[in-house]
Amino acid sequence: MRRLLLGLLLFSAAPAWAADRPAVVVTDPNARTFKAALQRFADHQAVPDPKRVTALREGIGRALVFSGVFELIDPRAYLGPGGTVALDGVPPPVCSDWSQIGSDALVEGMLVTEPRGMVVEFRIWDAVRCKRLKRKRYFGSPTDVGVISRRIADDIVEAFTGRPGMSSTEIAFISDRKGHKEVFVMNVDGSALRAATSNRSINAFPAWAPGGNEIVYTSYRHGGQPTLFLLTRGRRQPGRLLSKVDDTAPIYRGVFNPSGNRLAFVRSVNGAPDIFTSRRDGRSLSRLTSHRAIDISPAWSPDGKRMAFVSDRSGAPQVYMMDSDGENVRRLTFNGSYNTSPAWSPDGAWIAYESRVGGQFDIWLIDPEGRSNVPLVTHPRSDESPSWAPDGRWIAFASTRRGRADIYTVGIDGNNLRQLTSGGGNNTSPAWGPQPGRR
Amino acid sequence: MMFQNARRGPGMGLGSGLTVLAVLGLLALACSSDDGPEAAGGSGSGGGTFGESIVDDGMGDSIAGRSPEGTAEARRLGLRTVYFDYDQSSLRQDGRDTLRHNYNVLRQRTDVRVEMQGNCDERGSSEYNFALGESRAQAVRNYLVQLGVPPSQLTTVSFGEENPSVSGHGESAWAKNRRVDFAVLP
Repeated sequence: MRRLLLGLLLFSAAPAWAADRPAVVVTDPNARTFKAALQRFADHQAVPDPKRVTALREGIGRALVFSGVFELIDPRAYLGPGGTVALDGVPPPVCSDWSQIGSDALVEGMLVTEPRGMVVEFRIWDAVRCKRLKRKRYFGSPTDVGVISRRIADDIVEAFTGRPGMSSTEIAFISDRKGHKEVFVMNVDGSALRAATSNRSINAFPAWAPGGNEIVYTSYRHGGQPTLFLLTRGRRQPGRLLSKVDDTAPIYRGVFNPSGNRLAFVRSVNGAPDIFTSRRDGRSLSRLTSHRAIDISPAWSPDGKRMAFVSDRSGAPQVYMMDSDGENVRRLTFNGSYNTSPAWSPDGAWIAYESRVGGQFDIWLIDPEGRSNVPLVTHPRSDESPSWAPDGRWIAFASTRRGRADIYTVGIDGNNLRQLTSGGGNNTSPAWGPQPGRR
Repeated sequence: MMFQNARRGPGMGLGSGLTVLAVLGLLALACSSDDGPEAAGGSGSGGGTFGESIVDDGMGDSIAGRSPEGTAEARRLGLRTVYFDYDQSSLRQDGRDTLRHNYNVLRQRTDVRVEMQGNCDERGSSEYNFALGESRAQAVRNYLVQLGVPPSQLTTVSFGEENPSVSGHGESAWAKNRRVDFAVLP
């Protein structure tokens, strides 16, 4: 679903660099917040568990608010029933009971025990139009209440905005909290932080494959030159990529194309880094740039037809664009003498990048035609390595604003700055993962 | 509004350890819902974790598989580190002086092969710094070849900003980290 996001640009009037918060520069005219009424789900489990039902409701509510799209209506204000009785064989909800109290969404649901585990089934209503938007069920073990509630919240966001919420996504990043630069993964609220590599080498540049079950990263784990490896969920050993590329040149910064069958990466031939693409095993190798200058940081457009990249062919690093076959190269950024780390928004409308301003770095947005170029995150310390949430409403980045580098997220309207990591070494190179189970 | 059809649960069959218990058996049941049923189990949001088994692969606390002896041996031979200006890979006068000294060392020891390790300070894109470290190592290599060192005696690698020699966030630390180190290869 292609949605025109961010039609309206508002330039911040205040000197944004003076504030310890992002500059408010972009607003989405279609962005509005919705109000949700969450019924207490019916407990049809073999062994009723009121605490679990409460945890599920609270989990969905928290995740909805976390998404930045929904507010919750206090159950004490409900005119209609506070709990679901059943999803079938009962009259449909009285929509006016819900629209009258300002509710856009009504969510009903129930928990059932089936032979293979706990099932949570739910139904989303548009209370204003009195229309059923979605009915769905999730399976899991009773310990999966947190995961399921985040998935349900993301479904509710999708029903109202066309794009799933991001509360059930994960962020991969690099941390030296254990002494070496390793790949870590955490939930998007900073919880469940865990190491994904532990090879005590240097690891860098994690990037997700489209399905969300694989992460490509750059590592020196074999000694010699850096090359690409693949982490797969549930596997203890990383897989090799590009095995058919038979040379010893350094290879780094792999990124999957949107369909996941090709990689773009940087390969240095005689010390001159250029951008290549190939299949996962290195077959069908294609050289996109062949310039004596540095050509790095390939970033696919969401349709896979174009690529943003960084080149210092002008004498300083700048963001360029080209077709994914290397044709039609043109320079995109002209402000300042150091613009790097491009990241294409999921709707294709923007490229986020980092720009050196004075002695430090800020995050800017530029459209692919180069007509609008606006700051998103500015701070006296450095903000780097932007990565888009799959919902296109949020950006993750690394910042040294509190001293050591930590991972932060911020809404693309500049609001809701959140610090995800703290107290553990330097945390850099965030890569926001896709919505689980979607391609 | 977009409705998606039945799809496979995200983590099915990819679980490990306890996750396997959580994920296995969560097969789709027949269902009258709009959307097909989904398994949502597993740790993390997608079901199944990422993780390498923690094995000692022999790297220990060396840098990216390099033995500390190589660096120590280079120092013992008298091979000196070359320093650079911010965001530059061109050699300074002091760098050229250092390399003439290193050339004299290498001329005496045609039996050793050396690795020149390019490094950057922490500022800026870590990916650009990978590339800048390569350019610095190449600049050193090219100068030594120009002076007469056989190319076969020289290899290069970049560690970008990942291997600072001095921690710290000021110019005095940064100046020491913008460098090309020498290491003798085994």
